Amino acid sequence: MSDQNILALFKNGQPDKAFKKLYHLYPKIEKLILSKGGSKADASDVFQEALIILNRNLEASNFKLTSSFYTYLYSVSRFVWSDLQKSLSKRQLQELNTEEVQIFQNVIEEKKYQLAEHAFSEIGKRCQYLLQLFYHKAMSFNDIANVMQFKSSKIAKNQKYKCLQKAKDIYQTKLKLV
Amino acid sequence: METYNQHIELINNYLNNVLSDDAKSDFKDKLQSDIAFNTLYEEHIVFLKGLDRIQIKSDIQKGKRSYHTEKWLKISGVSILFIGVFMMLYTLISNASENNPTSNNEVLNPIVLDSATTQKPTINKVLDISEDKVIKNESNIEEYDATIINKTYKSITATPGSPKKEAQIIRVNTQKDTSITCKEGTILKIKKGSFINPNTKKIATGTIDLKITEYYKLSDILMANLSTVSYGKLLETGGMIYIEVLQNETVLELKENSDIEISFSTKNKKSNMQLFYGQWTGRNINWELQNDVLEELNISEEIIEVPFAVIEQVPTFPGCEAEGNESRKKCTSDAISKFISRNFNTDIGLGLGLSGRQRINCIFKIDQDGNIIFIQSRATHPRLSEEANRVVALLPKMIPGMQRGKSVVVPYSLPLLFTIEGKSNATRQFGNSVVNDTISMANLIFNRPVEMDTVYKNSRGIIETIREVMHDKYFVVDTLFIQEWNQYKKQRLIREIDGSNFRRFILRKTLFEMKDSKFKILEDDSITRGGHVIRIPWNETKIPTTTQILNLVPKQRYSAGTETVTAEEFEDRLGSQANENISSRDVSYYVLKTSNLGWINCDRFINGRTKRIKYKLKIKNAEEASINMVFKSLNTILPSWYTNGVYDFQTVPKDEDIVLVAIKRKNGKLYFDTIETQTKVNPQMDFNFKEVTIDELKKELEIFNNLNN
Repeated sequence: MSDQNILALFKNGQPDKAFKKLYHLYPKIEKLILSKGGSKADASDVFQEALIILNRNLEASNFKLTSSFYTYLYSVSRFVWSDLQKSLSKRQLQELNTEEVQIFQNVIEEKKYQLAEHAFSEIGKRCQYLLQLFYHKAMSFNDIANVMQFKSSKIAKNQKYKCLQKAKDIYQTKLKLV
Repeated sequence: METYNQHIELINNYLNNVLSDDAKSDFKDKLQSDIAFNTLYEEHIVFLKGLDRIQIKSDIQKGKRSYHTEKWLKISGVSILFIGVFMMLYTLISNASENNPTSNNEVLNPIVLDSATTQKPTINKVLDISEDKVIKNESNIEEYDATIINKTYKSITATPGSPKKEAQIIRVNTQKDTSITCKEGTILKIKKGSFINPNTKKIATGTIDLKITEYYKLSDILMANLSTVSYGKLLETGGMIYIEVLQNETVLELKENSDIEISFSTKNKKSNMQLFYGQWTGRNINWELQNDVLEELNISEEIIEVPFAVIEQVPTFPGCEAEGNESRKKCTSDAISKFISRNFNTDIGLGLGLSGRQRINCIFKIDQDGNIIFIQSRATHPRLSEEANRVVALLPKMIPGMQRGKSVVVPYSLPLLFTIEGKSNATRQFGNSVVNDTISMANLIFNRPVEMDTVYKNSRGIIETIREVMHDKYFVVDTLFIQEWNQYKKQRLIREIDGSNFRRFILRKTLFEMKDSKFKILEDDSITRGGHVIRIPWNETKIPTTTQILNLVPKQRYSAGTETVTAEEFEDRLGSQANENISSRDVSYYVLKTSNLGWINCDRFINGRTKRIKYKLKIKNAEEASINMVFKSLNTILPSWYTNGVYDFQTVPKDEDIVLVAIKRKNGKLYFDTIETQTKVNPQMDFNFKEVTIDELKKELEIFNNLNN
């Protein structure tokens, strides 16, 4: 399947199918990580991270894929891994070209989002569910109150703010730790 | 908070693009001008992106899974082909016997079947109940019995192709509540509309098919390769069932927050049966305890201690609920000082041959429920620190201190200063308040401390009053009764009249007519007026001289990790389970406190003893053990302060015979060791820890009570 087809899948809102295709590239990435001393689990994590970054960029309007998916994922994976290992020297950083700098920035930013995600995963199932209903499913507070059996939409709303606040608190403390 | 909510709402509206153009440009201006708002915006964006990750991740997982499935199907397709070819060749070539090929077939059949029917690639393996596993299962038969399964979990649908028991299929109408009794006696109660179609996320309507397989007989369980293990722990099973719900070949899921009631048929019921649901990991099934998780909104945060001086919301002395943190803080510390000064028995200082300025350092903690715990004091004489401990323990329950909206433990230190001047006059100063009073040299009454679960301040307090009014010196007064008593006083059912030279109580008639009334009229010394009973308390002559005045103190509470508990509860906790929260320090504090040894303060050595040295211990294998020094000559214990790997005993007399007592709690077990030595500069030693029980530990410590006898 060509890159164009995969791109079309992304555009049509079938990212899972697109990811399925992209997973054909995984063995190569795995080899890369293994050669740099990582484990298979590391490789899987790195690849997932690369896919997330790719997906995020594809959603942004000003992004254009200049190379093939393989080249792009390969370089993102490389940066994710070196960032994980903190192995990039200053000199290496200076020698990056603009495109690589862009990717590197993406990787750094994604780390922040990762923290936010971790914070989210620590706030309890009900809180998670509530925030997901609100942000992913874009449900109204009325519907949320119905689904989650809150007494009123007001309580749902209140609860949502509390959950959000909690998540952000956790995020802030995590950020300080890093 | 309110503005915060508004801001978030505004940001949401902006991101969802529902603002008008004007509002949008306002918003952008605000982003430029308001730094706080800008950071909030940035933070919110980060958070939303973090949320996005979850969605993306699930998509990726989906993609990954289908990729793997495809790959696996290809591989298995090829291998089946290969096996097929191989078998054909084999049957063609081997003419030796006709039985062999068929038996081979039997073994291989499941493989083919398996790979063809199973959707999920994670588990597929040829089913082999290996010989030793069966034996192991059987040897444990006695022990297990009871496990159960609820919910249709997709993972279970992927049960490896085991020699399955045939399922019963029951057709049910989802519009009605239904109760089903299965072949082997399981009863299911299903509420209407409990199932959803995972594809459309809508509640399934119409008729559905329930596929139920029951596993009660051990043979069935073993045949299906169902083990009864939850995270490596053996379970007893009372039966397992496997339910699959289908509608037009779609597997339905149980709706969130709805459940199926399952009654298992058991001949001999056992208590403590819990519900587990199963999940296949590899070839074995793991049972996970099903908890009711409704309270998940509370996240537990590490218990932190926040000092009184810096805490956001100070712990509050009852009666100090004034506005403003600062005024509450002042009121509370004043109230504590006042309370201590009022209750401290300075007489104790007199008999000890001390004179001059006395200082008692008192440290305690106010826990998350407002209880006073971990009382430790150091004074120039053990009797003084004992008295300080007693009085601090009398402090009433406070409103706990809060930090970031959560109640926390607040350590509090209180220096008590007073001067013993001559023999008749003492000035006491506690904290900020100075109290001058003359100490009468009247007979010191020995007040025996009695542990109660409530605080009573005076030696002749409410209990004595109640007993007087009841005219019964053995009247049982418990906390409940005191509450009732105060209630009656509020309701004016009991009235107290204080005259210049008399005190009277009027008890209303209702009290005597109440059901289960504890109030009784004694013939001889009651006067009735208008149906009410007037009681005159005992006068001095009537108070029996043999009355022992009891000094009621609250039950000593110990800290066990994050909680405070009584002595019994503490031992319970130690014994019952590996409670990681209880630290070595908690244990040693508990054991030493309950032993008869007194505590000593290093300041004491400043007076009197000749040569003094600083005593610090560095111990390699201490692992945060708690180390205390017992003085043979004094029967007292000197605690150490543990900082940065060094146990600091501060100043001690030189060449003193001591025993170092180390207590350690690790992985729920207690360890103990002692070293007999003399105090000298730069001590070098290592402990050889032995495991002990709490009772053994107490016995060991009792030995020290008799050291110098």
